[in-house]
Amino acid sequence: MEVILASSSVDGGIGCWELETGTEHLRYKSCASPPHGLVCVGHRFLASSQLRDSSLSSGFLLYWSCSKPQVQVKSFPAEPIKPLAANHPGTYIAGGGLSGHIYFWEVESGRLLKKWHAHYRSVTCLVFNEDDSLLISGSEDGSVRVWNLFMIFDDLRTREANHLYEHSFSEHTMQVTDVSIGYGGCNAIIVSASEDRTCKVWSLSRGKLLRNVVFPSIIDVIALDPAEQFFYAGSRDGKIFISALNAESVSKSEYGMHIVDSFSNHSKAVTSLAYAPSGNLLISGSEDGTIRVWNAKTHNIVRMFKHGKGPVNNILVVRQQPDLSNQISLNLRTCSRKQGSLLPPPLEKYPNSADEEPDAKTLVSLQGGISTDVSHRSADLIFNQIKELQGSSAATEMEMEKLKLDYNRSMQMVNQWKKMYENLHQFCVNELLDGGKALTADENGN
Amino acid sequence: MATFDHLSNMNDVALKPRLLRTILKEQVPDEKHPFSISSELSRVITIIRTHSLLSESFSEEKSVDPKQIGRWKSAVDSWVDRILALVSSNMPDKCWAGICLLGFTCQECSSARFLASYSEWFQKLLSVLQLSACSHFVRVASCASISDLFVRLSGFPSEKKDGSSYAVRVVQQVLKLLNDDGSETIWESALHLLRTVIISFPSSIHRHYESVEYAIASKILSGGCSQDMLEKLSYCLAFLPKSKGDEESWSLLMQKILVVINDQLNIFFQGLEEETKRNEVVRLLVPPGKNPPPPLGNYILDEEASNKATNKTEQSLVSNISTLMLCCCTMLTNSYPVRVNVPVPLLLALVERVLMVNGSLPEMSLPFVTSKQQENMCSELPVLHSFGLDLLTAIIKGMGSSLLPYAASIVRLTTRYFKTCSLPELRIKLYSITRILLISRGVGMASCLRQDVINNALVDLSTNKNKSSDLLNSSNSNGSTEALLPHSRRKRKHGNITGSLQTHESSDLGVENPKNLPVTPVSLKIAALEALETLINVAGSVRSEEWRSNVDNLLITITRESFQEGPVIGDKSNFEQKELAATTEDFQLAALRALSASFLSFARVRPPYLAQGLELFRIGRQQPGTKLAEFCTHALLALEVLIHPRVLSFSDYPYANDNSVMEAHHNYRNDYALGQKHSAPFGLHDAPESDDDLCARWVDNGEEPDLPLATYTKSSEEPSFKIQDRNEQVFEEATYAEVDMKAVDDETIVKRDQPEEAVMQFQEPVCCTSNPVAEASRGSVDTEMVSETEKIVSDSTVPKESGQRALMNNKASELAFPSNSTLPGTSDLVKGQGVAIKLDHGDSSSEDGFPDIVDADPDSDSD
Repeated sequence: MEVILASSSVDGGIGCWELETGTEHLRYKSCASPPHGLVCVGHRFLASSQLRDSSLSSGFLLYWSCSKPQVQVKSFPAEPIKPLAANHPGTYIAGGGLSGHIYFWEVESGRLLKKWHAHYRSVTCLVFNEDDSLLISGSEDGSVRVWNLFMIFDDLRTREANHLYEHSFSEHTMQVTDVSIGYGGCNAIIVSASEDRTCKVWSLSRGKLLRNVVFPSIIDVIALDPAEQFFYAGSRDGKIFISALNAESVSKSEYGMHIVDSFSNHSKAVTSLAYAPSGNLLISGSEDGTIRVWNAKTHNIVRMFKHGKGPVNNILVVRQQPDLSNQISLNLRTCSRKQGSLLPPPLEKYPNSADEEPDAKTLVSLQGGISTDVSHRSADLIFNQIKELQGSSAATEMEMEKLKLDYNRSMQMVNQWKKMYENLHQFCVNELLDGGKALTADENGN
Repeated sequence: MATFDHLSNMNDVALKPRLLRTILKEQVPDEKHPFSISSELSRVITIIRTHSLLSESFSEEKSVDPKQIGRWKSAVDSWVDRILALVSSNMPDKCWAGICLLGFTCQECSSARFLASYSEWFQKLLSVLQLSACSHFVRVASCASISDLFVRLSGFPSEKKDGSSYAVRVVQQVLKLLNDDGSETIWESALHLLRTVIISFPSSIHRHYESVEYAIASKILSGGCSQDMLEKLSYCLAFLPKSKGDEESWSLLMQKILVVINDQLNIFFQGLEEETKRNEVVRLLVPPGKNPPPPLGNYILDEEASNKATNKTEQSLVSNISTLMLCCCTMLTNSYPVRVNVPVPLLLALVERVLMVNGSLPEMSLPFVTSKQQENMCSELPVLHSFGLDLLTAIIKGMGSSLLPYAASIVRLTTRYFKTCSLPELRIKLYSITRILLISRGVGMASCLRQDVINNALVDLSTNKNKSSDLLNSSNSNGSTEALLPHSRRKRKHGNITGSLQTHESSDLGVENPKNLPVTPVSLKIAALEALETLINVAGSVRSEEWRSNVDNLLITITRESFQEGPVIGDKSNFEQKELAATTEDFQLAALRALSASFLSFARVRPPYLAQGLELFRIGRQQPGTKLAEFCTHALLALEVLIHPRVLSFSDYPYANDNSVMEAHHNYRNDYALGQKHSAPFGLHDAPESDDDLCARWVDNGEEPDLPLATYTKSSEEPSFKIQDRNEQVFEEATYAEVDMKAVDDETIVKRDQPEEAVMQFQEPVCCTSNPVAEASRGSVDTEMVSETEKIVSDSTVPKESGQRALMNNKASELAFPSNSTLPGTSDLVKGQGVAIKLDHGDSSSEDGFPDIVDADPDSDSD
């Protein structure tokens, strides 16, 4: 079951609609998220950063379990966090701070594993790449940076290296509003949007600019087509542009280079886009408070939801696990029953002073293994035992041979001993007799 | 039964009861008659299984005669009766046969019958098991049969309660069997039964948890079991916490095991390592201020026992340690119902401790260790290292995505061990670890491991032939691998002397070639190839300019050699272990896999050795029924995209209007042609798309022309490589000139409506700089050209055409294409390309002229 989740910058909770039928599900309460501040962590729960009061000294993170509308866990990071990202299995959460720091938490224990200075100004968007080994961040200072997480966690190398990032793209002249990365491992492309009214396409492997697309207005959000022939860009004037990635663009286009088309009837800025693979749907959220589901092929509106008065600024398409048959969810359930709470503890504020402490817990749900199946055995056993019964004949034969040889050797020994004994006996007898004779001879002689 | 009551065919249901009765009459022993165990019983089993004579199941589509049902039922009834009678028999052989067949019946009979009578059967079997005086065979068989009964029973959730109560009674018996002095076969079957119970009816173990742990642990630690037995014991021990299924029992058992491993390592490594490492592990093992866990299975090493332990042979110590490590591996890689706290730092410290001991003695302990002691340790170390690597693999697998904080230390450990490790077995394991890391952790990991994988694979893949070592030297002019090479060679030699790993795979350690240089076993070469393949798959384009040309070169050379050589040295002696030994075919397969990965990962650029590679794939496909042929078929399909760039119309593509559809279509096509810049006929499409920085960048091979030409020319002795390198250089200059000409900004763009102008405009400076070089290089090489290098030249001259095009544009020659392939001399090339250019012109005017050129690919002809 795929659901659309939408949150707003004004406290309107998180709306939840089933994509296929359009029925509204739970509305998760009290959420006012900044852009890119809503994530679904490993299909398990929802997390959102909050920027409620304008005094920038405080901010917090909230967790909702999928089944309950109330906030379950509240964390207070060291500074307000705007964008959030979780890796695909949901083991880690990364958050971008207002000061330009990136915070990296382990979900299960809540530990703050790393915190590093990523940008000069506040981080605006964060995404993990396909294999979760890279983190891409965009910032108010206009830079897009690619972080190799293995590098970040390698203390030795970070000390040697003069910069932490893998690539730093600084061609944007104004604040970066969104970053998106495609599939394809090392050949993936990164698309970034900025307030300088451009979207730029970067090569991950080369670290170079591949394409620059200039738009008529500021682009706040981008979504990649799954085949990556083009990408959708939601603009501040309410339009959704389609821009070519692969093809040579139409130079006569009314919008500009590489821009193929546009659609939408949002009255205000499009702030969020999501692509739902089932049914080839594009979902857009706008500042006018509506969420529209488009057929990505025909650009017709399939469905429309009203989130509330406030502007929508986050949309997620999440596949919720509907039944208990799935082993992971079952495990979680049993786990939760034992530990009393479905959700992991709140995220810690500061990194552990002694991060080498020995009892640092790493909770892992061990999966895999095929050997839990039990199998029938007696039929094979019969064959084996029959083999053993028959096969042992060769062994006994060898044993027999060995014994025979041993026997022969012993017999020889015995004979030898016998002979020796007899010789000795003979010798003694002769000696005695001869001695006796000599003695008598002596006696006679005397 | 009527004599002529014929069956319709062999699928007739009526056959089954009749057959069963016949078997019962003729082949199953009964009370009165003596019987010969041997073949009859196995025939009974085979027939019953093939015809499922005990299933009493009827296909639904036909209405079955109720008489038929009755007949079958009564036949099975009498089968069961006979077997139960056999079980109660006094004769040991009949009792044995009965027990075995009862277990088999549990597996085969219908559910209804099983549910109705399993408790009776269980009582029978248990009573046999409880008899104190019965033969080994009977005990083993009854354990197996009870196990089968539980397996079947676990399929019925409704019977869970009964099953558990039965299982409790069995566990007692099993413990008795394990604690008795018996033969290993009995222990083995008892363990199997125990495992079934742990998995199927975990709650029945609870009461006996401690005693089971004791029984298994004492068996492992007392020594004297065979390797096979030890493996089974460790397996059972690892499964034990599952019976409780909570976090504490898992962690506790893990901690207990690690304590024992550490103790035994302390004894084994006496004098071999320095104190600090040991202390670090101890600190992690028992954190200060905490109590150590109770000993494993309460198996207390008291004063006397520990004295005895010091006198233990190295062999028994190592077998203990390795068994327990195996247990850790099993615990880590098998699923567990709840989340557990894995002591990763401790495990890693332990692995590091094991791997870093290489048998050399630290200065201070020189006077205390005799050479005999050292020899003993060294003979056992490879086994220990092998299990250490297994444990490392298990950690990586078990941790999954949570590995991140520890990845750095794992990478460092792997890298360090790669430098010292020389035994083929261990290197193979190390390669497999790097592959797991690369695949599971992706691009980020690849950039950490890339250099190590390449360096080591290059060393392992270098053959001892002069030719190939030349290749290696030429391809390693960076120096890092050269530095590694002699070092590693020396190590390998050393390894051959001390190596006594207990596995038989690739048993050609001792086989040496006439020059008495160590031969790299085929299996190691395969592992190296696989590692390269994985690296290319995961991160083939990252920093590709630094390493790809060397690796691609190596791969094509190796693949070609593997096809030329016939049987590879090293597996001649393995006639009897065909399954274990790596064969030439495996090697070819691994080489082709790596090659295909290398071709496919050239994103949008024509791979330099495509023609030769395709030829090899075609050869490989002609060996029917082999894995090789299967893979080659797949590879040819996958590579087809590189040969015929299909113009796919994106019908789903949303266009603004019809007009633009056509235009975009046209553009797609040109874009594709651009992607194929290096292919001979298509390359000529690439009149520089002056308005497309994207394509230019993507096409750009990414090679920095930072090395002067001289370094290329002197780096190699062999002509083919020289040519290759030079040509690459030429190409680089050409493309770079092009790229530099283009501004990144889209605004300053020449309209693509006048491609010819664009060509002239941009090519002028290019051909001035690069063409003379190209001419010169080709001229100098021409003389030493052999048939083999011909292909390379004809391949690699292709990139030059960007430079030559301007010159040749006016030479419209009518020569046919095949002339290209005959000799890649200057004049022919020029002519050939003239033709290509003509086609290019024609093509730009017509929409569908594009695919026609495909067949005339001069490269495929030149093979």
